[in-house]
Amino acid sequence: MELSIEASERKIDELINEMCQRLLSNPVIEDYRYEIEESVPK
Amino acid sequence: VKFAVIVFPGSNCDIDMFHAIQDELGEEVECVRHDAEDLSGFDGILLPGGFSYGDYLRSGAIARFSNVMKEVVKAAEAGKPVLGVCNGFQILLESGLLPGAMRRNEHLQFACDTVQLTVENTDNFFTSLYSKNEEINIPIAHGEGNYYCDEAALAALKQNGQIVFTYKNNPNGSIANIAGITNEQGNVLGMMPHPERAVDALLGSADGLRLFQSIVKNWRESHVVNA
Repeated sequence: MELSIEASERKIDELINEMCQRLLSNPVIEDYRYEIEESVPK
Repeated sequence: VKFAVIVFPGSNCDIDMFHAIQDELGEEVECVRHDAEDLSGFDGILLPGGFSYGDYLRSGAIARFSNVMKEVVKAAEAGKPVLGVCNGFQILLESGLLPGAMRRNEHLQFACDTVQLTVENTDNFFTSLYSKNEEINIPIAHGEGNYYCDEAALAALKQNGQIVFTYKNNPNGSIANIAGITNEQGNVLGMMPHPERAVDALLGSADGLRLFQSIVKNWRESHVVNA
């Protein structure tokens, strides 16, 4: 899965972990890992 | 007793549920949309089967964020009976109202059959009109009914008597043959088999009707003034 996230006041890791735990994965049956890359607006 | 049948985009057992309540049980029932803001006028909440939001991501994963689910959580916390069947069960798991998660059937195929269930516990809102260890016939129709929880959660389910229905012949690989569980308080039940499709002998079985009758009986008993 590849997602673009706009910069916000919240820490990016915090946002990603929340997303993964609440929606993108089900922690009861799934693990997840992620990588962050900074993208340059075109 | 006034029931709400919650209708999500992709629900497909809502009409069956409505029929079971109105025509077979003979109680008041309304279909309520996923964007409803208030369920306070209802005594019991029914989450029907289907493929809410196309089962995208995981079954129930998107439906749990719909507006009405905040109200369903509120109703559950207030002790009202909340029943989730099939996709409704999956939504209850995703929303955290029930512990565990649903995986694809072990054999990876959709299972559509009438199965024998054992009633494991009758001390809750939903099964008090059955006898313990009674065997009943209820249809199933699901691709993701393979219930899973970790050992600690399973031990808690067993200890609290939260396992309500088990399969006699496990059709999907679910842990401990689990077909239906309640929350610790016994007012939220999730089950993969469809009791609303077994409410009249004409349908092949009327064994599901007593589940709804149990809700009504228990609701009345808990609402009698000066009993």
